[in-house]
Amino acid sequence: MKSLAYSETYMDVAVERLEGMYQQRLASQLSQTDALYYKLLTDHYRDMRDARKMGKKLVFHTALLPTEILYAMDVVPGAVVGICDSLNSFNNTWEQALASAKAFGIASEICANIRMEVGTVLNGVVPRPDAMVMSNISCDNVAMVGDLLVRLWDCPSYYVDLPYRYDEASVAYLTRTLHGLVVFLEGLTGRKLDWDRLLQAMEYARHMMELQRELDELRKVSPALLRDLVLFEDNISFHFMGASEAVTFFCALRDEAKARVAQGAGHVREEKYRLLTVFQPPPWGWKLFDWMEREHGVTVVYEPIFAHWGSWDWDPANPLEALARKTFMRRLFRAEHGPIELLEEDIVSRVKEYNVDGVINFCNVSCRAKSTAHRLIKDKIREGAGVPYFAIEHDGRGPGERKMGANLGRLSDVADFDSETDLRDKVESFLEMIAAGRL
Amino acid sequence: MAATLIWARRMSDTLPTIETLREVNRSFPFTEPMRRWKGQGKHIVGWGCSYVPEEIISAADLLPVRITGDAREMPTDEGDAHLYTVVCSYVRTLLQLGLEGQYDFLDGFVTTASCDGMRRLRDMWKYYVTQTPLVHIITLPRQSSPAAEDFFLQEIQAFRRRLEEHFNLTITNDALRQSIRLYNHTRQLLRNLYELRKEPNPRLSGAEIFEVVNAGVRMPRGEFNDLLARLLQEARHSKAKRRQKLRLMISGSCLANPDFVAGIEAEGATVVVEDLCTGVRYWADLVEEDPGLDPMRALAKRYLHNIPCARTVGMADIRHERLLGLAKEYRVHGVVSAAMRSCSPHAMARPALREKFEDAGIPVLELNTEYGSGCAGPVALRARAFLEMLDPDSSLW
Repeated sequence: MKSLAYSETYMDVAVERLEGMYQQRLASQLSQTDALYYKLLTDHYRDMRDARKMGKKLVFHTALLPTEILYAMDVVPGAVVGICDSLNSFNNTWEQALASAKAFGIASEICANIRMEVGTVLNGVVPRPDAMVMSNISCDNVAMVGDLLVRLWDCPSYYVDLPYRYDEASVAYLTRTLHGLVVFLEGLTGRKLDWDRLLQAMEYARHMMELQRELDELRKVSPALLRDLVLFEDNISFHFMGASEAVTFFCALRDEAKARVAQGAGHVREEKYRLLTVFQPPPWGWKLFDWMEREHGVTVVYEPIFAHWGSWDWDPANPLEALARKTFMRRLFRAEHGPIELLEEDIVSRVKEYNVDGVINFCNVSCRAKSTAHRLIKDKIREGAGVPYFAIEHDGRGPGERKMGANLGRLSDVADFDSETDLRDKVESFLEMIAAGRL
Repeated sequence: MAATLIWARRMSDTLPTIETLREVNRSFPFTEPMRRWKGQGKHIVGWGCSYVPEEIISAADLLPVRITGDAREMPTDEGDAHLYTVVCSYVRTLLQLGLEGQYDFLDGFVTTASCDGMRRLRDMWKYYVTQTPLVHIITLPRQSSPAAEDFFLQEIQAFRRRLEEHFNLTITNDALRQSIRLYNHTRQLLRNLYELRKEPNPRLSGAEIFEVVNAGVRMPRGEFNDLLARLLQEARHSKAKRRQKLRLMISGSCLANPDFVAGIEAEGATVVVEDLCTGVRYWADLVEEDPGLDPMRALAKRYLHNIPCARTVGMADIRHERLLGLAKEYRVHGVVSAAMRSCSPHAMARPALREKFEDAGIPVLELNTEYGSGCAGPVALRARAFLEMLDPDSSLW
């Protein structure tokens, strides 16, 4: 594979834009958490851009890899899909990325995120890392893109293989794999892992997950008050798992949420419908929520999959094994990786726990891991919880979503498969189904 | 029509054993050999991925059969409704057949967690194809490191225990060794058959070989071995020679329809080797029969270290080396990379594979296919154009 040119300009633009967003939110004083979110991202992108100047190794990784070991080794980690996404959004280079991937030979039915990643690297928008840690966490595309990016960059790499199911043999295998990751990073950095630092990173992660559980409890209030937090939670746990920043952020988020609950500061005056959503909505989904709240008294109570974990007991005397066990607990892996029985457990039980009237699945039709679960989720909810279910199909990387920070006015600017009118009609039919079920 | 005339030969030219094997395929999915097996009161376990060690199933005196589609592109309305079209047509076709009840004769279904589609197929089969009493999935590492091999060994040991518990039987190591010998014999016979394809004018077409392998996974192994041995004799004594000088490799995952191969061959070539789950990857490496080696360890080694599938990670160099080796061994002039739409592993691995072949001076035609499709219309045109640019007298090898 040919060597790739890289221009620092793209990262400079990203840092500058993030800094601007942080300053804007700081000045607006609307939400301390909001400002903190952008501060953390700004610092993170600056660190990635300046890693080598700081004498640190830049180690990219595929989506959702547990990063505790990377933070413990004092490298600068970067989730490559998130970085590529942000760089393209800030620099308006999405279309060029997709075009380059197509010219390279990546089939158009492959997930847009993946094509975007490949194209972004081909276009020299993202810096070449000192190493890449790959994994199959999530799906085939994630596993394969890591392999491909390593060939494009011609950089050292290590692969973390997540087994299919959670059992003792799988934990042992993953633990052994994680040990191999430690050896790899020790070779890359020329220094040994500080096991106390790893324990500290694990403790940060554990604390972050504990704070998330507190937030999960706060979500049970009626009317529901915290629906707009899933994106923040997901991104912070995506980038800072094992870092103190995650704890700082989630403490602030928890405190803000508590204050909201104490004040009854919600988006609706009268809660008529409580809904659970499954999987991350596209950016225009937030506009849809606004309309649902305003017009129909709908509250979106909870999203149980994206940034949440099941519980487990971890033994600090065996940190790598603890990390392996934790990896299996992320509900998103369980949903995407399987087996499907776990999805049933993660969603159906939450329907009852959060006392919701119905479920909306934001069904990303280009995602092999998520969309293929749609039929089973629907049937299991009907059998296990007896509430109506509605799937809103979207393509996670529709045209409007690519413009970061654009003022997204009407839904129909960005909705992928339905016109604004059609989508609202469908939602209203769904709400009527819920109402009819109550009679 | 032209394809049928060219590749099917005149009836008098068709080797008798090829016709016998075609007859087996015609009774898909519940073939006559399977019916006879069930008629003896025995059980059948279907498998969906070539990483499933059939030997374990066979050692339990169960009949392992590959779950496939038919030799045609079929409607998959129900399969699509359960799984989005974002997964490949192979998986949707299998689910379709399962939902239609065409695999109701199965006593078990096993696959591996080889890809997103297979994992969801297991989920869907378990919940919606309720006639199958046993559904099992084997975790499959994406690498062949010592740790991965140890883990895969544990997985297939768990599979063995599951079969024993479900069917209330014991799989002895002696039975396993016997089963390994049986399947190794198949691999050797297929290797011998493929040796004939290295000749300048092969006596068998790629489409005919396709039918042979298709039939082989739809009948008891001993019966197939006998037929293979007979076919070898017939082929060695056959005076038929293919006139087409151009020699091709097909690379991809699964193909069901011999007409796809026949259609390409009808444009003026012979497919001499296949990098497919149903081609060389099915038989390439033997299982070690060293009596000092635990047979389960031998199986884990063989299946994990076989020619790597495109789904593997960090093994592209090994895969490329083996495929280039095959291209040299079979003296191919070109490669047809036939990836199914929505097959992520092959789609993502294809650019690097193409580069390797082209750097070695071997042109590549990339086709996007649907499972079960033949070779007509645009596909045939592209094949023809590709063949026109190949030089049969090239001295690459």
